[in-house]
Amino acid sequence: MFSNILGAIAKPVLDSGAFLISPNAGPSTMAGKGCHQNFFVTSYQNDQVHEVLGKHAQDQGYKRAYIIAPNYQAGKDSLAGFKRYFKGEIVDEVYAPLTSMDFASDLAKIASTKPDVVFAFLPGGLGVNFVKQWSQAGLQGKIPFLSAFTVDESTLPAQQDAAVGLFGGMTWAPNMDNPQSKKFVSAYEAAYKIVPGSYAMQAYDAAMLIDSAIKAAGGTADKAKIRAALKKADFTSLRGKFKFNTNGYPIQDFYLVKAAKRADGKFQTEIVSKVFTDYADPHAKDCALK
Amino acid sequence: MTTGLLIVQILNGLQLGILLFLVAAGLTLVFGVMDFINLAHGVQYMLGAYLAVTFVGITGSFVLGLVLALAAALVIGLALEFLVFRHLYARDHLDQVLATFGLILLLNQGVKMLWGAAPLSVPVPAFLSGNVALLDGILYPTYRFALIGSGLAVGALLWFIVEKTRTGMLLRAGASNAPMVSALGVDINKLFMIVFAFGTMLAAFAGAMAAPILSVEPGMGDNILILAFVVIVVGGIGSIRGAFVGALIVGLVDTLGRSFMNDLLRLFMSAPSARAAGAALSSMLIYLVMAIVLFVRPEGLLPSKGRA
Repeated sequence: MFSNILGAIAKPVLDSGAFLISPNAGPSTMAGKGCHQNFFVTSYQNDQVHEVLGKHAQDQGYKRAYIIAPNYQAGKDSLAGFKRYFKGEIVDEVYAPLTSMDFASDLAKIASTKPDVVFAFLPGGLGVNFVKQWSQAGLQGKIPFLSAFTVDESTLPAQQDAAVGLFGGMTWAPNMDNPQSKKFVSAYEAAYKIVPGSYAMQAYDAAMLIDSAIKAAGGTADKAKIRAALKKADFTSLRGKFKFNTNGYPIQDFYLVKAAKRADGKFQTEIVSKVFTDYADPHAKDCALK
Repeated sequence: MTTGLLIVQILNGLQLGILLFLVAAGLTLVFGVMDFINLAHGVQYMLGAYLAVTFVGITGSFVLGLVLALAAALVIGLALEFLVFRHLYARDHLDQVLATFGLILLLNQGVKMLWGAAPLSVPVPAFLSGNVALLDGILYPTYRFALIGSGLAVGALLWFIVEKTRTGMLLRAGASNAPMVSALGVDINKLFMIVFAFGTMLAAFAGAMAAPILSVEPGMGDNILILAFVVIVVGGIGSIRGAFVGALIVGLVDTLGRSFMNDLLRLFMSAPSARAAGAALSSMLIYLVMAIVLFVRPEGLLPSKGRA
C-alpha cells in the first residue's frame, strides 16, 4: 500500500470506527498532529529509512553528497530526511521527473563533480534504470552509493549484479539472525520461489499483530480491549524487537543493508550494521495521544 | 561545466534522439500514409523489449535474441493488423484512438500476466559491455555508442528505401494523397499492411535495443509514445526526414535542458528557487519547443510533400 492510497482510504475507514493497520505506508501526516487511536503501522515512519542513510553518510565522514529523488512529495520528504542527519556539503540536489527513463545525463554530472557519496531515492523501475546505468557508466565501486527503496528484493531480480555492493537502509533483511525470521524466509521461498522483501515481512507482522490482539481480546466484540491489545504488540516480530510508540508507529532498530548475491545465484539484501537503536520517529511528539 | 561534460551530454541527447527516431519513424509512417492514429505503437515498443528479454534468455546470445524478437514482433504486429487495425482504417480518428487505447490497456495487462509486474532486464552483450574514456576521465558506455550507430544505420536504410525504391515511392505518394494512389491501381491494402508491419518492427527494434539500458516493465511504452508524438508533430507528419530531425531536436533539448537548466538559472536566482524552477522548466522544455514550432510552422519543420 502506497502513502497516497493510504491517504485516500484513511478517513472513511477511521470515521467508520474500524481499525486501520498499515503494513507499509507510514506517512508523516498521520504520525504527528494527524495521529489516530485506531491507526497502527507495522512498517516504519517513511522519513526514518532516509534518515538511516543520512546518519550513515555523516558517520562515515563524507563531506560532499550528490542527492537525487523523483519530483513529487515523497521525493522531497526523502531528501529532507537525509539532510536531517547529513551535515556536509550538498553538491547537487536533483529532482528528476517521475517518468524518467534515462539517467545518463545525471550520471555524467556525478562523474564530473566527483562527490564523496551519492544518495538516491528512486523506487521501482526508476531505481532499476538508475542502478543498471550506474554500473554501465563505470561508477560501481568508485563512488559509494546509498539509497532508500531503490535496491531491494522487489528490484534486485532486474538489477542483478549491477546492484551488488550497493547500500540501503531497512528494519530487516532476509538474513536476519533469529529463529522466527529464518523459518519465515525458508517457508516463503519454498512457497513462492522468490526471496521475500521487507514488504512481505511487514505484512506478515501485521497479520501476526492482528491475530495476537484478537486472541488477547477474546474476539472482535470489544473495541477498547482490541485497541489495548494492539498497543501491547504482544507477538513475535520477525525483526525481534518491536513495540508501538504513542502515535501507533513502531519504535525499532534500523540497519544499514547491502545487496549481495547468494550461493544459489539469487539476490538479497543483507544486514551490515545497526545505525539506530530503539528509534522513534521525529513526529511522535506532535501527537496528542497518550 | 566542462567541455567533457558537454560532450557527454550531447552524446546522451543524440542517443535519446536516436531511440525516439526509431519509435517515431513507424508512427509517422502509419499516421502519414494510412491517416491512422495508432496509440498502441508504444506498447509495440514495449513488446519488443519483453520479447528481447525472453529470446536473449533462451538463446543466451543478444544478436540471435534480437533477430528472433524482431521476427516474433512482426508476427504479433501482422496478427494485430488482421484482427484489429484493418477494421479501423475507414473509421474516424476518435474511433481509432479509442480502439488503440483499449489495446494499450489490454497489452499492458497481458504483459503483466505473462511476464509479471516486476521490472525485468536484458544483460548488455559481452562484446559491447566496456566503456570508452572521454575527456576529464568521464566514461561513456560502449553499448550506447552501438545504439547510436545502429540507429543511424537504420535511418540510412530507411532513407534508401523511402527515396530510392519503388515501395518507397508508393509510400511517399501515399503520404501525400492516398486515395489518388489507390485510384491509380495500387493495392492500397497491401501497401498499408507493409507500412504497418514495418512500423511495428521499428518500434520493436527500438524496444529491444533499449532493453539493456532501461528497465523492462509494463507501461514503459506509454512515456515514449507521448515523446514520439511530440517528435512527429515537430518534424512534420508522414515525413521520415522530419522524424529524424524532430527526434534529434527533442532528444537534445530534453537532455541538455535537464543537465544545464539549473546552472543557467542559478546565474539569476538563489540555489533553492533555481532548483525548483529548473526541474519544472526542464520537463516543460520539449513541449515549449513543440508549441513554438506549431505556432511558426503548423505543418512541422520538414513536412511530407503535398501536406503543407
